[in-house]
Amino acid sequence: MNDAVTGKFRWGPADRSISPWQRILQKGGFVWQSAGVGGTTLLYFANCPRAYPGAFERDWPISYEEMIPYYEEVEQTLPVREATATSKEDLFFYGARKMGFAYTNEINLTQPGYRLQPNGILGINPMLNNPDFDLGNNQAVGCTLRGHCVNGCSIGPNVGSVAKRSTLVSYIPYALATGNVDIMPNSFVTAIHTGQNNEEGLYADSVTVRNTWTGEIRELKAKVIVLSAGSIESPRLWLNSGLPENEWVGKGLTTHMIDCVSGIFEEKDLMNILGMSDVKPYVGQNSAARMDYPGLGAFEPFGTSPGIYATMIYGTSQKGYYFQNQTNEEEPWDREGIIAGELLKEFMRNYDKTLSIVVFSDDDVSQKNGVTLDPVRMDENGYIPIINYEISDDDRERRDQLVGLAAELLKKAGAKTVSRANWPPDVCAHIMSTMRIGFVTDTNCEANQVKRLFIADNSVLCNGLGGPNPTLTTQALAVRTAQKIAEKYFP
Amino acid sequence: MNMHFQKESGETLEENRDNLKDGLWDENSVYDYVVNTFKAYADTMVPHSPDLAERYGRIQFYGALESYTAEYLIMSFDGHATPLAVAVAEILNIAAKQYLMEKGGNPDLPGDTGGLYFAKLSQEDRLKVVDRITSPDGIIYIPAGLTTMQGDVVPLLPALNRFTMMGYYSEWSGYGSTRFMPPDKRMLEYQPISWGQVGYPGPSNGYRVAGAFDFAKKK
Repeated sequence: MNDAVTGKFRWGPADRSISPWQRILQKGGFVWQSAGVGGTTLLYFANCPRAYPGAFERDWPISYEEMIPYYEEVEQTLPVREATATSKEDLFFYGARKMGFAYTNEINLTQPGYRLQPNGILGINPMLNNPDFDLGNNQAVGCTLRGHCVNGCSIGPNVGSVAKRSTLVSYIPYALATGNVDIMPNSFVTAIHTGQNNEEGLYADSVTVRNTWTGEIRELKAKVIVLSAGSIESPRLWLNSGLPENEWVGKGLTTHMIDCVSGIFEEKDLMNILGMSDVKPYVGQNSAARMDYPGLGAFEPFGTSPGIYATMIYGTSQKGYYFQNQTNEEEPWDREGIIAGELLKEFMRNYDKTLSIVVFSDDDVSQKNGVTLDPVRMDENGYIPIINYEISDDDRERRDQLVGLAAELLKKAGAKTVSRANWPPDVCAHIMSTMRIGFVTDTNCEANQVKRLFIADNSVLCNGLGGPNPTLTTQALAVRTAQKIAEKYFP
Repeated sequence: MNMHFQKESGETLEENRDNLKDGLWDENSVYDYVVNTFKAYADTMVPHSPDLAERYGRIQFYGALESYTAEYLIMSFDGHATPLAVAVAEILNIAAKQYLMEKGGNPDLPGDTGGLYFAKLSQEDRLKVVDRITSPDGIIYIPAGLTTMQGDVVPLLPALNRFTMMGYYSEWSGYGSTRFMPPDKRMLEYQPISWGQVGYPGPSNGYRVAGAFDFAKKK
């Protein structure tokens, strides 16, 4: 499912006889994105926390208070609710309490605290605990805790009521229901064209669209164009279209410098804590709890099927293989780097007794980080994007501190052995702030240099939000932008 | 394949000429070269484990070689815009030769081995070689004369590790006879060996575990 080259979810054309689209990552990272109607929300965990107010105060040209009604609107629409925990979350909470962290009821976070994940997953199917209920012929609405969020959720009687609220099953059906919307799958915009007049100066006028199945090219004109191709493709399209130079187009990339730690537990300890002999990382919503730590970032327990799990916790590192890294006494993990050989098999044999945590650190915006065009290499959509991300000393310090807290939590919960992956910082799963509001756009998210061109994806975020998962904030900002477009151009 | 690589790989020129068929390299020898290199790597990452088998049961013995993981690696590298499996195999072998040279002695292999230096290394040394070519501190073992652009292949080398984990622990090997088909044609024909080893029961319609006691708000 999550095979990024030949699997269902990949960044490439639907035609599997054609390769995925190329991106160049300089530091050994990779981009975790999916093309298709619904985009990367098809495979996201559906975690929907709000940004930290402090991150807004730091950089944003609009206030956090202004965002609150839009947050509320998206939270009601998706809808966002408190996740249903299973044993991996219970074990996480046990460790968090042992660490002395406090449970928090807040949703606008200024202090550290742990809580159930706010996520865009429907409530549990009320029949689920009824042993006579036939899961094989389930036609009811609601999550069944099958643990396939990242593999693509299909639980529900029809598209619009699927449990995990990717845009494919939420905003797109709502949009289609208005009768005003056409969806054109397998379409790739390769150029934005502009016109010029005295009142507006340069304005967006039309786009060139390429059908990725047939190669057919079309031009579409519009009164307003919304650029929403993600933090890599939006700047790429701007640059490939020859739109005006701007020192922030493609610059300021934040990624949360994601990292993973995992701990293996013994059966007797799990019996004492959970009343059962294993954690079963494949059971339940992929991530149903979180720890927020404004100033450092956030981390959350997660569990998935074993292919992605092994890749995330043991297969991705900027530090090489574990046996080459010495760990010192101060570091709360027992080893660092890629796990290979017999130890990998031994660790994976303990898959069902493993708790893993994914760590999102608060990274500063730097103009050095971002997306540029390769000067030579092209694909059918134009020059290909090169992604560059260098971690700064401040960023590294925050990251190490936060990963340390997550590792310590695992130890406090009773893990017998803890491994840190130490991902390359250019792993792009939370890809943000390459077309920043206030820098590339005005406060309505309309491009400063190209009127009638609005930006509505993660790229227009002004920074990395302090660490929380970005989708909810992007959706809330897009709702606000839609309102601004309606007011300005369709009064 | 180009001449430069053949010389670099330590074979004699005459033997290389023997492999030429109407000016082209023999496809079978290229195939063996690539497959054996990736098998050596996959077998290192997920080896046979007689010790684990003795302690925890026979299923723990099996590894990447029984689950087509080398095929998965080749399929994944060749699935890119520029097919990269041959280039990655070349890089592994030339880096392995360099490594052997640094350890002293004459690493040149007899001509009939096809330049498979990587497979000649111990499992730990193989990982050290992969570590060198994937280190962010500079890649120095990229052979000159590679037909593939360095900029296309180098950023993908760390994927060796990720592809191995996905190939071995995901459902892919269980697709059996459909494993090379497009994703909508693949069928899970059996449970992968790895799932048996890790205790994963496979895809499920749901788990009746709602209402697990709530640690979050418990005082």
